[in-house]
Amino acid sequence: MSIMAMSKNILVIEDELDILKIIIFRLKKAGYKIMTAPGGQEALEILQETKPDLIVVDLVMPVVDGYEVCKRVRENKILKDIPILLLTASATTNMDEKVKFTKANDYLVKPFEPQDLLSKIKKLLRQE
Amino acid sequence: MLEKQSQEKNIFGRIMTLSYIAALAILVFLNFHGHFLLKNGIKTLETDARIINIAGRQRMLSQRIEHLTMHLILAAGDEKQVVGIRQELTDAINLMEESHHGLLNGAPKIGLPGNPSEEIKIFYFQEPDINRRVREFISNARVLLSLPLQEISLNNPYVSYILRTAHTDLLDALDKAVQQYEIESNRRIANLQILQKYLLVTRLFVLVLMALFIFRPLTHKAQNEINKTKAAEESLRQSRQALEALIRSSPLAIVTIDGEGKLTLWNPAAARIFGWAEAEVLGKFLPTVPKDKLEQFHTLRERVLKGNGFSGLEVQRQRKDGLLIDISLSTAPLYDVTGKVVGMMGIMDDITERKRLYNLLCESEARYRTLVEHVDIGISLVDKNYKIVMVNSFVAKMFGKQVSDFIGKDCFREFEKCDKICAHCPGTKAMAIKEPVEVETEGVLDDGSRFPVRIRAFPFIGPDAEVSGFIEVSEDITQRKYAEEALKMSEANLRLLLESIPDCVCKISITGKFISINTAGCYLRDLDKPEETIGAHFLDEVIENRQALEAAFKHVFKSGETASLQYKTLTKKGRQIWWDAKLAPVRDAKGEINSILRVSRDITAHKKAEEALKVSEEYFRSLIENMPDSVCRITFDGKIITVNKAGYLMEGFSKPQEALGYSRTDHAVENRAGLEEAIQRAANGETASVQYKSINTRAREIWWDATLVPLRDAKGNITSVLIVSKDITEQAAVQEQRKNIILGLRTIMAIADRLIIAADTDSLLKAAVEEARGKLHLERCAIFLEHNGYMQGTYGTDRKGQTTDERNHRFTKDTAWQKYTETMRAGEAQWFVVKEPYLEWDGTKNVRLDGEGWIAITPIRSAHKVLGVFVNDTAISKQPLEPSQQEILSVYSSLVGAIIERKRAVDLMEKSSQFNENLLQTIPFGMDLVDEEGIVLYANEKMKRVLGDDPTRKKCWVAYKDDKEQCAHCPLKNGVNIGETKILETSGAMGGKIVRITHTGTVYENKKAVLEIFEDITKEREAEQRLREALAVKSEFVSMVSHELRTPLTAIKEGIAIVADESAGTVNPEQKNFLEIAERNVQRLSRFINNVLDYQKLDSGRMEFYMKPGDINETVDEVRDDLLIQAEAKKLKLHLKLAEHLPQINFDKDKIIQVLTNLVYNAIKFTEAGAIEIATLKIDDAIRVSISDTGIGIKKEDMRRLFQDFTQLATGKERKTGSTGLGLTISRKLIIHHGGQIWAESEFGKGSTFYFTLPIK
Repeated sequence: MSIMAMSKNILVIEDELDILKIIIFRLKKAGYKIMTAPGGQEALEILQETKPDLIVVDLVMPVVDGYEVCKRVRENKILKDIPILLLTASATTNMDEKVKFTKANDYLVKPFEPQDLLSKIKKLLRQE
Repeated sequence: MLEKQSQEKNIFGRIMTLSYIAALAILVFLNFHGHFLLKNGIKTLETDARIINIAGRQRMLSQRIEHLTMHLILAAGDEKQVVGIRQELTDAINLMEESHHGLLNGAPKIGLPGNPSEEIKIFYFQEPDINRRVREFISNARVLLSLPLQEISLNNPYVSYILRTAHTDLLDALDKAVQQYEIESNRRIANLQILQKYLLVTRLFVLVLMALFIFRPLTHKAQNEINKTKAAEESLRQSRQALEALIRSSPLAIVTIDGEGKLTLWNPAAARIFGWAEAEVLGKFLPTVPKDKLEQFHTLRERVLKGNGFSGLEVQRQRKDGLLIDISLSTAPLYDVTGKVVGMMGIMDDITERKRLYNLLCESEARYRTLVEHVDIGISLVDKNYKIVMVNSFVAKMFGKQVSDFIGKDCFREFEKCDKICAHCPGTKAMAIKEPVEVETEGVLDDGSRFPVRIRAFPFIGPDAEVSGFIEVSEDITQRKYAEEALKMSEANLRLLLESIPDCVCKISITGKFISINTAGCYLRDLDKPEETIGAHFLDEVIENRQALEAAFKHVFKSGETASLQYKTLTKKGRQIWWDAKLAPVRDAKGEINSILRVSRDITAHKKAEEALKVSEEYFRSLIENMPDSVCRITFDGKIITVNKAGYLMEGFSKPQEALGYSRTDHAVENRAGLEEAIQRAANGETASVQYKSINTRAREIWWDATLVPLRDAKGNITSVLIVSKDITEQAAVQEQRKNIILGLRTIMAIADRLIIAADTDSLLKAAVEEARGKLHLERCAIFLEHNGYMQGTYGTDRKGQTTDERNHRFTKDTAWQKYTETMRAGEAQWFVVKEPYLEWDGTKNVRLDGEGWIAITPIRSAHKVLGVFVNDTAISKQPLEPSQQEILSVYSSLVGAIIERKRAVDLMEKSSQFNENLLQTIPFGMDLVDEEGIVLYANEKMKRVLGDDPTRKKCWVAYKDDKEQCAHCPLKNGVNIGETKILETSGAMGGKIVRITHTGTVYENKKAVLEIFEDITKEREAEQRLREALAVKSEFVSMVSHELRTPLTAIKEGIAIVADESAGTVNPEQKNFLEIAERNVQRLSRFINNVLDYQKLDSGRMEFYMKPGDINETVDEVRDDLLIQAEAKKLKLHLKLAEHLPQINFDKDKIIQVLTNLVYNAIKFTEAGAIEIATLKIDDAIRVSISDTGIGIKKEDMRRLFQDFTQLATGKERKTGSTGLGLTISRKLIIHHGGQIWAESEFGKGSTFYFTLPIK
């Protein structure tokens, strides 16, 4: 889509493969470069080698969950400034607190609107 | 000095020479260099000209070649012509080649030496390919020459080259080059012109410098000589001018005379002083010398002419107007160049004025001295070393010495007998600050005695403005000091006096303001300090006699007399004080009244006493007047002098006057002797009392109890007797009655014991009646008690020994019966006369009784109410009851009432205690009574059953818990007040159960006790716990289900969206239609899940609220656009009617938006046409938001269920609109959480309005 988007690398971490596929579809369509991880563990491995421009991560995942990923990213000297967008299916608790707790930058509650996803990503990548 | 100068000059000269040479050298060099450049420039120009020339030639030749070529073509065929042309052409080409070569090779070698590249550059055309073109042209032309005739045509490439291409190109290039060279040459010519001028100038400079160098020393010398002469001339001229100016401008008269005595010089000052103008006197003899001084003058002249000048001689000279003036004269001889005396010069100064001033000074000094000597103050002059320079005679007098004794001595030794400069010395200070200083100190005489002295020291400033000492002016102030001291003393005494007198003394200004007040005044007026009242107006505090005080104040001011009066004030502590005040004028030194002295004495006590006396006299008089006893003054023979009201009324008179002269003794019928004796004793000064009986004027017999007192006049003589007599006639009768009553009461006391032990109410009543008849002599008595609205009579055995019964008592039901009920109601005893006949049961039959009979009815009362009546009829005796009997009857009635009440209470208690016992035993709670020690006093059956034991008389904690200690939270520890209830819940007691114990403070058997009720709430608690768990599971379940729904929903939603928006390929319209259906339903499902989650959060109290103050109108505005889109989608209008100036309220904006949108969406949903209106309004302490629609409305039967959980109204509608049925429930919960209300009003078919309020805090 835009030239700016082309250059941005986004790491999407989501254990629900259907959702992952949909997100990949949307983001690719918008011109972003996508890396995916079906779980926290895989994501951490990817992060050891590359530094994406943005991380989209589901909070609730088996084994290594989104909280752990956020914690590890924020503790890492190289990665700590990467913007993080949280995905969650739960709206039972206050998401603002979760964002604060994980030191993430924003969140999306499932089911989300595609334009919300794109606008939040744009905002986090300062492409607005 | 000179040497040095010359040396300097030499050095300077050398430097100058060197610089000359250097400059010259530079100029010469520049000149040569310029020449060189010029020459080069000219050569270049020549070359340029040649090149331009050659270029022109080439141009011309090429043109010729072209021309010949044309001819060649035209002459084709004519062999002869062709040969000629060819020859010409060959020549032209050769020429061109030659000139070209010449240009390249034959050019002269010019240019800057050592720079060959420059040289070459000059010879080439600047156009780089001109040479090439020329060469090409020449070679092409040669080819043309060698061509056979038939080939020479316009089509031949060589020909066309020569004619067209090369030719024009070459010409163009040549023209350009020439042009460029021309421009270049012009520039060069201009440069060369400048260079030429420059050369000319340098050359000139060189010439000048050389000339200067040669002529320099010569001119220098000559100039010097001329200069010297000129300088000498100049200085001479100048000094001459100065001298002349000096003489002319001098304020001193300067004259010269020659040897013969004729004037040769007469300056303007001389003219001014002496009056003769210069022209008048020059060449004449000196006119100023008066005739009598001529001789002296000549002597002087001769002396001067001999060479002896003198100066400062004071002589008299004459003015033109004949006036003699004093002159200070200085003279000197005048010499010519050879040194011979040729005349003399006189310098004169007019000193007349100076002399006059000097004389004046002398006079003034004399006067001053006289003044100083005769003045009555000591004046001494002291130098800055504190040595006395001068003293006047007064100083000497002060110290008893001679003036000469002081001079030259140290001032401190002489005046104060100190060894060093006194610390307080005013002189020191005066000298330091150069200002007069004043001190009061003491002078010390030789014999050591002291006297007070005031000293003013003035710094003595000499003509040089330096302080050279000081003048002391001393004043003996012994007298003044003494007067001051005396004044101080008297003032102190006065103050002491003022302070010590106990009255309030204050000074009041003319304007009525307090100026001062003494201590006593402060104290008396409740002031803490005088400042509180100073400045206040003296009338402010006055509350009585204010005008009089003001008048007195003014009077004192006007007349100067004193005044006295009384007034009353109110102090700040609220005390009212009466003052007796004296006002006196205070006069100032001039004798004018400037203030008033007010001395006030607190006479409040006195005033009070006076008032009290007045009151008491008044009181006493009225007391006597209104006394119920007879008070009269009688004579010694018993006649009335004065009498009070009771006195004359009792004697049977209607006015006091009638009683005057009435004899008390004469009307005494019993104990007259006693009365007479008492009067006699009183007349002798004793107080006596007596009882006697008299008959008054209305024939009433009166027993008197009289007290007699002697009355004395002012001298102490007994003049009359005061007799105070009390009518004791009735008293005597009452005493008899009282005896009876006491007897009766004693009987009643005896009866009471018997009555109390009666077994029941009936026997009690019977006994009461019997006793009354037997012992109290109330033969015909009966008791009627109120029972369920009827009066039931009770009789004992009558006096005939017959037993009567109330059922067959046929008492008249007319008058008497009414009286009973009347008495019952009023609760007061009454007695009356029955006049008509009535029936009486005599045991077998009714007996008719005729005639009058007295009936007394006395209420029988308990503490709270009238129980019945005690009736006593005296039909037989036909006489009313005696008062004593009435009294006894009353007491007896009360006694009977009390006993009846008690009896009834006991009955009731016995019954109720049985009921209580039954109750206690049957209630399903364990219950006991515990005393303050924790001992179980009572336990009910349930309790015993639960414990399987009787806990009575055991310690409660042992009985219930088998513990050694009292239970930790037992409320008994802190005690339970009677009537107070404390509730305790324990677990583990009574075999591990959860028990709620209610402790209530009560009284049991006259002791404080605690009633404990035990409830086994184990099951309740367990049920609660289970419910809680179930709710938690439900909550968790709902949360989990929702969560589990959301994730797949995301995938579905996004999947559909991707297909629908054709991101993944085109979709045909029919497919798109179905995708939209799917999308809509996913949206609905997603909303439903969100609502379920919201509901669940609200239900479990986990919804978080973020309350912030805000404007509700702003919130409505915020969602307006969104709502408008929704409304317009259904072609509905949306109106806003927002009230202005709404107060800020606390609310969670997101939640209120949720409510608002929910209500508006509902309105849109249920409205097919018309408008939706959102309105805000302030109502009391809340803001009301309303959402009105013109939709289908709500049926009445549905209104109730509107906000209930999971309620959906019309089922069909629900399908259509896709509502979850949770919206209103959630809205209600959100609003209630805000402390507001939500409700709806609707008319089915016409529309609905939903309201919610938010409180203003």
